Order: sequence, then structure tokens, then C-alpha cells
Amino acid sequence: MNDSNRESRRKFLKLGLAAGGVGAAAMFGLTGCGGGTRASPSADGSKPGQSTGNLPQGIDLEKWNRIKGQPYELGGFGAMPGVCPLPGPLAKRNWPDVNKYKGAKVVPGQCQLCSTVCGIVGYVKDGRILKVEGNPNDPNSRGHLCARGQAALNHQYHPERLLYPLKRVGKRGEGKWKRITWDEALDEIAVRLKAVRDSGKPEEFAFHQGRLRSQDAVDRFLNAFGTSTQLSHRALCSGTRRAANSTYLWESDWDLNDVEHSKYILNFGSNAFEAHQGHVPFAVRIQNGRYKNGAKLVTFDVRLSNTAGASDEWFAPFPGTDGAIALAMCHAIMAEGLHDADFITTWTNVTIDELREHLQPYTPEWAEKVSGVPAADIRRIATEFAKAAPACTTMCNRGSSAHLNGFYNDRAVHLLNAVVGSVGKKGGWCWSPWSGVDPICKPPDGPPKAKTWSVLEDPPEYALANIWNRMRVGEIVYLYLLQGRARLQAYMTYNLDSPLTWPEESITQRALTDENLIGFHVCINCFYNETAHYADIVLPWTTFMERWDLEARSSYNLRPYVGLRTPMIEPLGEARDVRDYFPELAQRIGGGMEKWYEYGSTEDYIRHWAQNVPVNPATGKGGLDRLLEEGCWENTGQPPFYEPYNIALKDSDLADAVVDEATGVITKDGKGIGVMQGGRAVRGFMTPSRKFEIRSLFIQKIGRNEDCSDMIARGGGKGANRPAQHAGHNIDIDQMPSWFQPVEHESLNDDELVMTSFKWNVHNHGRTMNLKWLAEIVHSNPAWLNPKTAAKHGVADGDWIEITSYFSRFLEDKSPHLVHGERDESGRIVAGRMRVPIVTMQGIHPRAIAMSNSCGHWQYTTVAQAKRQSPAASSDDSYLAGSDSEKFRDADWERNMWWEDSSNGDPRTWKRNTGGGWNQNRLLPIAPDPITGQQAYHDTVVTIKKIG
Amino acid sequence: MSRDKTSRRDFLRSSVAALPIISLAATNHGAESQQGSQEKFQPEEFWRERMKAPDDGKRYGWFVDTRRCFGCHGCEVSCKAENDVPLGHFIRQTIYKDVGEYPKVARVFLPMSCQHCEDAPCIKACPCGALHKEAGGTVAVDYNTCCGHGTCVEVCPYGAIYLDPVAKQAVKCHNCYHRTEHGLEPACVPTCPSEALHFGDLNDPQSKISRAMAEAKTAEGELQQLRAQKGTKPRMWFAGPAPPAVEDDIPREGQSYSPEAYDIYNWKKHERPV
Amino acid sequence: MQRSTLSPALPEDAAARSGTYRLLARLWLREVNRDFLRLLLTPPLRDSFIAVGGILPAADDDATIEQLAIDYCQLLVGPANHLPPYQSVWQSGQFQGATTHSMQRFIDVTGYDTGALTSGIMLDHLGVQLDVMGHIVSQISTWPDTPESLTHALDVARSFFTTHLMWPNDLLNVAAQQATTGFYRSTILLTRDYLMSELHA
Repeated sequence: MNDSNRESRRKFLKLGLAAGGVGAAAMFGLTGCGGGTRASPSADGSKPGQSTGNLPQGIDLEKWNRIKGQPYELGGFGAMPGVCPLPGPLAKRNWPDVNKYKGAKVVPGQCQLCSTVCGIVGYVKDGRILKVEGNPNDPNSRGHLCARGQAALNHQYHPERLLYPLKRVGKRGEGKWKRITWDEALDEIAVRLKAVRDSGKPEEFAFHQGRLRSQDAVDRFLNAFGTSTQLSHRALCSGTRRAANSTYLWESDWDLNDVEHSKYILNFGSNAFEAHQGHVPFAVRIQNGRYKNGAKLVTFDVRLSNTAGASDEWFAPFPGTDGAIALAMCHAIMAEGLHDADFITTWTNVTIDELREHLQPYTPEWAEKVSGVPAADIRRIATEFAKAAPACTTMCNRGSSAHLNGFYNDRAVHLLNAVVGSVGKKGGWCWSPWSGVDPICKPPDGPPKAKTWSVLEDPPEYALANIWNRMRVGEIVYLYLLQGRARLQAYMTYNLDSPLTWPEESITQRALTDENLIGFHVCINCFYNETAHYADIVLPWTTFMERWDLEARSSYNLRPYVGLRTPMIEPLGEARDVRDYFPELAQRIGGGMEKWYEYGSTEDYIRHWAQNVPVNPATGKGGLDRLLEEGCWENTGQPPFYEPYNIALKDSDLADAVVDEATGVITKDGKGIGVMQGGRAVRGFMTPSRKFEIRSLFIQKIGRNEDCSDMIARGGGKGANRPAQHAGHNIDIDQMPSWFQPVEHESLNDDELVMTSFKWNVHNHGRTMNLKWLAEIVHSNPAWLNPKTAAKHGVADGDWIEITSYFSRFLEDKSPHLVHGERDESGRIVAGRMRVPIVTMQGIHPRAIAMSNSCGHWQYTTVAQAKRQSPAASSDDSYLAGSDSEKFRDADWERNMWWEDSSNGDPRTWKRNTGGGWNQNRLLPIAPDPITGQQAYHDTVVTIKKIG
Repeated sequence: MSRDKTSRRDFLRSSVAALPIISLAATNHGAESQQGSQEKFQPEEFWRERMKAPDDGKRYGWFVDTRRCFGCHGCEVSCKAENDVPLGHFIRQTIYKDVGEYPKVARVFLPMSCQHCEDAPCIKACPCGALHKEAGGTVAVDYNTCCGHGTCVEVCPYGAIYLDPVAKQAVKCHNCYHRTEHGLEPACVPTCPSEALHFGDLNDPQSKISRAMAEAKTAEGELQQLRAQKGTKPRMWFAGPAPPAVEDDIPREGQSYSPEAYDIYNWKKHERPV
Repeated sequence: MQRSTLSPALPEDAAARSGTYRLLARLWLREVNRDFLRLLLTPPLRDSFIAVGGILPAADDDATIEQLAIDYCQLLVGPANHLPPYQSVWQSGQFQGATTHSMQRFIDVTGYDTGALTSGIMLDHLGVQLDVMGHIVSQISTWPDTPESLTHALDVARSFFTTHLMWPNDLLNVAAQQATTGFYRSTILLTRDYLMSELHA
């Protein structure tokens, strides 16, 4: 030690004495940081701070002698490859560690990295999750888990996770924050929300969810508060398919194709092998249907998705013409006499002659003209499909439905199943009434539904958006705010990345920035994303491995089940779930809200909810205890939901029931309960006619704002009239499944292309690009062009183009309230411009250009942005042992991340397969299907021009 | 009911055959054996014992049903998570290939990893004596011995070994023996949403893998192996269309799995430089 | 590169060393509040803090406290481009790695009271580590009454320092560059200097 060091040392000791004189840490105010009372658990499960040693506050020699000398083996985590084990040699030793799983606890859960919510288990040891795997007890996913779920550890232990509540200190969107305590955060939120409530306009508090799997908890809070302004992304997802299903069925908005028992699967634009609400459960059953049951899979898709690419046959129709092909197939099947006359006559509400007449213009030759798919193939596939009946089914999803004519596409596709009589049949086109947790499980009673109205939640222009259930029209929210049609005093966003996932990024950003439109914005998320960037308070959210839910989706077993999401470990930092602080918030807001939270703890609530899960005779455990052990319980007492329309009504049902002579519809107390069929009283369909409604008078009348109370009564359940606010917003909806083509597609100019959108198998829409193991596989999204198209535009692989996108001409006519933006010299309204590289692919229609979503983040961690972290420290002060100038934060990320793009968007220096990609929503205009409100993600007309 | 079930298979076969580069490549590499590698092998007495697996009556192997695989990458990410594999390095990978020309195009997927060869060249070439066989024939690295010479990488005909950037040691699939010893399957197997991956005891005719292989044989005829002509007796069998379409693009001696496999510009069969 | 010896000859300094550790711990664990800033601005703490290179704000007014809170947040809390002060993050790229568990073991062994910590804090936060070291060092002055127990206490201290306080070099260097206030820049640098001084003491 030299003199100056000695001097410095002396000063430090003086500082220490001064500090010690002031007092111990307690005097410095280490306590009083607020935010609950949770403390870190100790490794051996004893209470923190309790020493089992012989001296309080002393060093436990006995323990020390047991563990000293091997500090880095204490945790049971051996050295990890790619990551320096410090101190000590860098070599792996005893790898793989045969003791890794020894003594690990297996805790069940439910994945939430996409909407399929597969059952998972976490292997937990010493308070850390070692690995996440599928739960074989999940009857739907059967223990399988896709790449997203396997990246759960990236999500859980991401070094850039939000850990503390933050409050904005600069201008909104400026990115300046300070940490606050939970008490401060909840106090401020409560004051703001109470003010909204007291203003008499509770609907000016909006809750805006991305993926939400705690619906019960959010409903309870919003209903107790008194607002029904709950916004969602359903119209960006599945609105049209749901509306088309509901038109036929009413009972369910979700077709569950019984593919495992099928002989023929006809897929219109669904990419079930990569991304689907039923992804893993559905995909495994499709493959079982094919390779165990001999089914054939035929796919129509503009782009060769992995589903299309792995199908037995693939056809690329012109974008948005799925419905034309489906109707032509119906036409061909009836022309060949291969239709199921019995089903049509008995179980639909049209006659064979009516149907044949309706289908008459939709010939395969006509369909070839609009779709480009050869008439001969349409006939051949139609015939094969019909011959496989009843074990045949269609499947479709956003590929057919996210179009301006999507509602008609999906009705046409579904119609095929009625024509061949596979509706509700084993191996056919099925559904179930169980879209969530088995209804035998009931949460503690909640408040009555709030009855407010907001144009944001129920825009009057979209007749079918909120008729059978609340689908809403998410993509208009920010535009309507900017148009002054509504304002929000308070806005709470939850697991939402709207600037990235909503069409017209610039509109979203403008609305989120404007404090006159959104008075106060609380953002709840695990990571700082593009939405959080525009918040006033950010609340750190627990991951799906740290919180409670009862969970289930529509099961492909066609019967209900229950899955449990339970904390596998203590939440990191101060992350908390809404289930845990909504009660506190309600308490602070008061005014009666608090009385809905007298159920005890979150665990008490879940225990109550799960109490009817029956006892497993093998373990003697039921209710929550059974779920904590097994994760899932399937209600196998319930037969699969095949042919529910044929279920005979019970005598008790029929007491005091009335049969309508003309229609056979059976009503009781004015509500439909069934229908007479061949002298039998059966359940029928839950529609006004109690039949599969090929002709829907209901949707036509709803479109015209007419009263439908009598129809709704005969349906016996779902369905609603449009509210008074919708008056004056009439719209023509065809009774029959017909088809049209948007004008801009009908007359597509030679230089125009139709942009289509897609999702990768390793990503969801906006929440996975921060996970390094997934980003490594896909991080960028060059635009796909057919080589012929590329040649025509003089571009080749890796060349860059400028894409100009246009607002829909069809919508200019049908939805003038949406029109905004400037026209170019050609008279088209420009929606956006963006520069991207191209990749030529054989698997895309020559008139289409495809870009994926998920890419193009400008927040959401350095991983999502494909950037290394801050510049590494200079290493000249490397006096501390183990310092390594190359090693900085995530050593793996800093050292090994190979796809950083340093070109700054310069086409000349850009390297293939690098960078974070481009946000397609800079190009896509707000484009809701005028009937359902579903965003038309696959219809945007664009032009391209080579640059660079 | 599978009237037209053969259409995809036939189409893929004809498409692959139509690509001159494939048949050419197949001929070229067909002529190869372990010739180039042999000079890197150690004397037999050095590796003879390590080539023998401790005999517990089991014979582990893999069956990959590429008819079922749809390329989800679940197996690879599960492997990364299980083994904390650094970015840019891979113990297993799935290669995509688009086959055919618009409008007749298909995509095939080939998931693969170490083939756990019975006559493993990596064991023969290992200068430290680190590569050896575990019970059931699992080819594994002893990390108390491996010094990272990388000779195994030079001789592996499947590019299935990489050198860890920090440990400077060879890393490859070890059949997750730390999991199987606890009754778990290798991390990639149970997660597979297409149920395409099978691992288990080939000596047990009732094991899941044996039954899956028998079923596939009935449906497809003889199962395939990758680069069987190399004579290393790999313990991995395949059914379905992917092996002939992808075989040429699998890394070879001196290479390791690389991020290039994920580059969409490389999905195209016809433009891939060899 | 010299290994820490943490000379056994210094038990008499233990109280002072402990005080410095716990002061630094407080600085890392939370942004300063008014009460704490007032303490820092009051002699003798003020003078000793300045003597080791500390830079103190002129006043303890709201604007200053807010400015310090913003700097603390952008440095250590986030939400973006910050430097999470957790050993696991810097050594294994993720939260809650082996070092968190190792910290728990040391806490069990040394009887450190976690009750004063913010709820949910991960135990390999640099602030916690400094505080635990302060606790361990304080044991050296108060507990050991035989040469043998002193040796053990020093053994624990040496082991803890080696395991949990020799990692943050990069964090400290980058954080010093990224700090926007003199107060936090100097706090970071004097943490670095103190750890160095401990290493060579």
C-alpha cells in the first residue's frame, strides 16, 4: 500500500466512524420503503433474519464449517456454458449436472406466452426455476410446449424486467422516470380513479388489455368501479371468425375442428402449426389425424406458411378469395350430388333447392377467375372433402377472416361443413359451450355488471361487434380519441403493446402522448414496452410463473377442464399482480368498491373458485389441493360435445313448454329450449330457428337496427339488440353466406400488390421479441416477394424497396368516418411508407407481398431491439478479481449475440439476417371489416419501388 | 380414405430429384467414407475402451418422424434452456427447406442433433480421451478431461459438436443423461408438439420408440439415416420427406450448427451455395 | 492482480469499516430522501464524505431530491438502458442466479437481519452485499473473543468479500460514466475506491 492509498484508507475509516456515529442502517431509513410486507424467503424455508445459530446477530460457526470453501457450489447450479463461472477455472466440470433435478419441486402452472395457455410445470430448487416444461396432465396440450413456452426462463429472469413502480417525471413519452413505492403509486392511482368516479362519468376510465387471463379479477374491479369501458384486441385477432360462427350457432363463437378423428382437413388460411389460439393442442391433433387416422390436409393460403408447407397440398389463392373458393366447393358438391341432403333438410333453415339456387352463380370457373385456383382443383378437392364426410372439417382463422370481406369468407368456409353434414360430427366441424374454466367452478360472487356506454367500447358503426359477446373494435380506439369522439380521464393498460401491434403506429403514438385525450395513464407490464413509454405510472407485473389464475381454453377434447396457474416462486423485486393490489386500490377508492374484496387473500379466492374440483381417489385430494398437485383436472364425466343438437329434451324440460306449430320451435317461459324433429323433442341449435342458420334474418335485422327481441328469446341465450346509440348507423348484411371482393382488389392496378401479414412460430404479436432464445431464431422480417414479381420490379434477394401503402377505397365508401390522411397524385390516400429489404420466396402468390408482425421494436429491452447493451467499461481498472472487460451484464448476450445491425438502415451495408426488423403497422391502415370490426390485416394495397 | 395421401410424398420426391445439385451432391458425398478423418484418429488402443458403453442391456437411439415435424423449434429452445447453450451455438437444430417452384411448393423440416454413432469418429479422434460412451451408447464428453482441441469437430460427419466460447471445450448432445437418470426424457422429446421426436431403448420392442419406428416402417417402408455411407453407424433414424431434401445442407466435418440455418435466405433449396 | 488478504491485524478498525460499508449500502439500496440527505449534509459526515471524494448537493430542497431520484432511477432501476446492480445479472445474464442463493447462505450463516430491506429485493443487489459485509465486519469487533473465533470471523469476511464484492468493477465503471449528478458519480467512484482499499488493506 503506497502513501496515497494509505491516506485514502484513513479517510474511508473516518467516514465509517462518522457514519457509525450517526447510527446503523436503520437510521439511514432503509426501512419505510413501502410496498407490502413480503420478504425474501430463506433457502431453508426459515423466516428471514432468524438465525439458527448460537448467537443472535452472530456468525454461525457450525453452518460456516459446513459450507465454507465452495461458495459457488452452494446453490446447486453448476457452471453454465457460455457464462463465466467465477471465480475459478472456466472449464465445465461435471456437466451435465446429474444432480440438477435432485430434490427439485415440481410446481404446475399455465404458460401465457401466447393465448393457447398450455399447461406447464416448473422444476423449482432453492427458490429458482430450473426449467419449464409441458404438463402431461393438461388434457388439451398433453404435455407439449412450443418454443415460446420453452423460453419462459428468458421471460422470468430477464435482466431488464421491471421490478419497481415508476412515475413519469418529464413530459409524457420523454422517457424520464423515478422510482416510487407501491403505497405512493396506489395512492395516486386511487386519487385519480376516485376523481373519475366522482365526476359522474365512470366510463371515462378505460381498462385496455392485451392478453388477459385474469378476466374475473378485472371484471370484478371494473364492475365494482362502475365502468364497462374495457377495451381489448379481439378485433385485431378473431372478431370475424367469431361472428361467423355465432351467426350459424349462437351457442359458441369458436369452431373446434375435430381433426384428430378426421379423414379430410380443409384449411383456409389458418397457420395452426405456427400460431393459433389452439396452437399446440390443435397441431398435435392435426398430425394425429393425418398419421394415425389417414387424414389429408389441404391448405389454401396466400403465403406458404409452415402449415401450408407441411400440408399434403397447398394452393395460393389471390388474397381474400377464400370465401369464393369455399362457395364454389359447395356449388360443386351439390352439383355432384355429394351433399348431405338429410342434414341440410333436417338441421339447416334452408331447403336444398334454396341452397342450390343461392350457390348457382358461384361456379368453380367463377372462383378460378377471382382466386386463380384452377376450377378442376376446386372440384377435385370439393369431391374428396365430401366423400370423407362426416369425418371431414374445414379450419380457418385470420388468413380467411382478417379481411374487409372476412365475415363472408368465414361464413362461406363454415358452410361447407353444413353442406356435407359434418357439423357436430366426430371427426367433423365441432364446437363446445366451454370456452373457459369448467363452469362447475365458480369464483366468489362479484358485483353486477356495470352498465355504462362508451363509443370506444361499442362503436355504433360495427353492427356485429358486440351482439353475441363483447368483441369490440380495438383498432378504432385511438382514432376516435383523436377525432374527439371520446376522451379518457384515466386509462389503465395491461399487457398491451399497442404502438407495435395496432395498425397505424403514428395514430397510436399521437393519442397516447396527448394528455388532453388521455388524462392519466397507468401501465401494467413485466417489461418496459412501447405502451409503457407513454404512461404516467408504470407498475411492475408478475410473470405467469409468479401469479394465480384458474385457467382453461376451449378444449379440443370437446369437454371442460380446469388448469391452475400458481406462483412457482416469489415474485422478483416488487412485481405484483392485479389480484393482489386491486383489493388495496378498491379500499383506497372506497365508495362501496371495497365490499367486493371481502373474500380474503388471493389464495383464498382461488381456493373458493376451485372447491368443486372433485377429489382424486388416488390421492384423496380435491379442489385447489388437487390442482396444486396435478395442475389440471379434466371433467371426463362430460361426454365430448358431439351432435348436441340431437340431445333429447328431458320430460322435466318439457313441462309447461309450448311447441310452435309452424316451426317446431319449443319455448318455455317465452325462451327457446329446443325443437321438434321427427316427433322427438331435441335441443337443436341455440339459434332463433333452433337450426343451423344458413339464412340469418337476425344479422340482417341487427344491421338495420331493428328490434330482434323475439329471435333472441327463441335462441334462448346469447344475442342482444343494438343499443339506442347505434340508431342511424344502418348497414346491409346479407342473410345468406354470399361473397364480394373489395373494389381495390377487383381492379388492382398492374403496379399494385396486396400486403399480407403473418406470425412466426417462435413469436407472439408483440411480447416475445425480448426473449433471446426466440429472437435468435427470428429477429427480422424482410418482405416476401415471389421471384417473378421481384424480377418484374427489378429487385433481387437482399435488395431494398420502399413500400407505399394505401387506405382502402372500399372503406372510403363504406366507412367514411375513418377517412384521414393525404391523397397522392394518383388520388389514393397514403397510409404509410417504409423501407425494407426483400427476400424472394417460391411460396407466395405473385400479387402479394408478405411481412411478419412481431418485429420492429424500439423499446422492450435491448434484446427486442437487437442491440447490445451500453458500451462496455474500459478495463484499465481491472484490479478486482474476476473482472473481464468482455463480460458485461448478460455475458452471453454481450459476447455471443450475432445479429446486431450496425448499418443504420443503409441498404449498402445492411447484412442479411441481422437487426430487429420493421414494424409492419407503420404501413397498415386502420381497416375494420364494416360488419364485425375485425381489422383487415391482409388486404392493404401497396406499391413498391427499388431503392439503394 | 387416404386416396390422395401420397401426393405430398410423390411431389417432394419428384421435386428433390429434379434438382441436379442434390443428386450430384449425393454422389459426391456418397463416395466419401471416413477417409479424410482417419488420419486424425488416435491409435485404437487409446479409444477402444471408451468406444464400449457400460452394458446395462439398453441400446439408446433416436427416431425422427419428419412427416410430423412442422419446424416449431420447441426442441431447440428446450435444449437451450436445459443446457444453457450460448447464443450462436446449438446442440440441436431444425433446418428448413422450400422444395419446388411456385405454385407447387412444399416446406420440409429436419430436426437433428448428434447421431450417437456406434462407431463414433469423435471418440476415435479425441486426443484427450474425453469423448466416450455412457450407458446405452450415449456419446458424451468428460469435462474433467476435455481440453478443447476441437478434433472431434473436424471429424464429425454431421457438424453436431461445437466448441464452447468460454469453457473452450467440446459440447454436444448427451441424450440428457442427467435427466434420463431421474426418469425424465431428454429435454427436446416431451415438448415436441408434433410428436415427431422419439428417444429410447431400441432393445425393448415395446418402448415408445420401437413402436413408433415399426409403425413408420409399415407406412413408409425402410427408415432412412443421414450420410449412412460414412459408415459411423448412427443411432438416429428418420421417416418422411426431409432427409433427402435437406441432407446436403447439414453441416459436415469441421463445421458446427450455425445461425445460418435460421436465415430465411437459406430456406431456398435452389440458391444455397454448397 | 492481488488477492484480498483482509489483514487479520485490523479488528480495531472494524467498527469504522463496518460504518463505511453500511453507509454505502444505504446509498445503493435507495435513492436519497430528505432525512438522509440532511444527515449527509451535516458534519462530521459531510466533511468525511467530501474527504473521500464525495460530491454533495448544495441543498436538500425538493428539486435536488427529485433530480437525485431521477438519476438513481435511470442508473439502477430503469426502465431502460439502466445498469441493474445485481451480481447475477453481471455474471450470468439473468436475475436470481447462483449468486442470489449464495447470498442467502451467507445471510443464514452470519445472522444478518433482512428485516430492514425493501420487500422482494433480490439478495445479490450490490447494496445488500455491502450491508452484509458491514454486518460481518462489525462482528469482527464485537464477537470474537478468542484468536480462533477471530480467525473464523475473518475467514467468513474474506470469503464473503471474495465471492460477493469483487464482481462489480464493470458496473461501477459504466455507472460512473452514466451518472448525471455529481453526487451519484462520486458515490459510485468512492464505492469503487473503498472496495479497492479493502482489497489492499
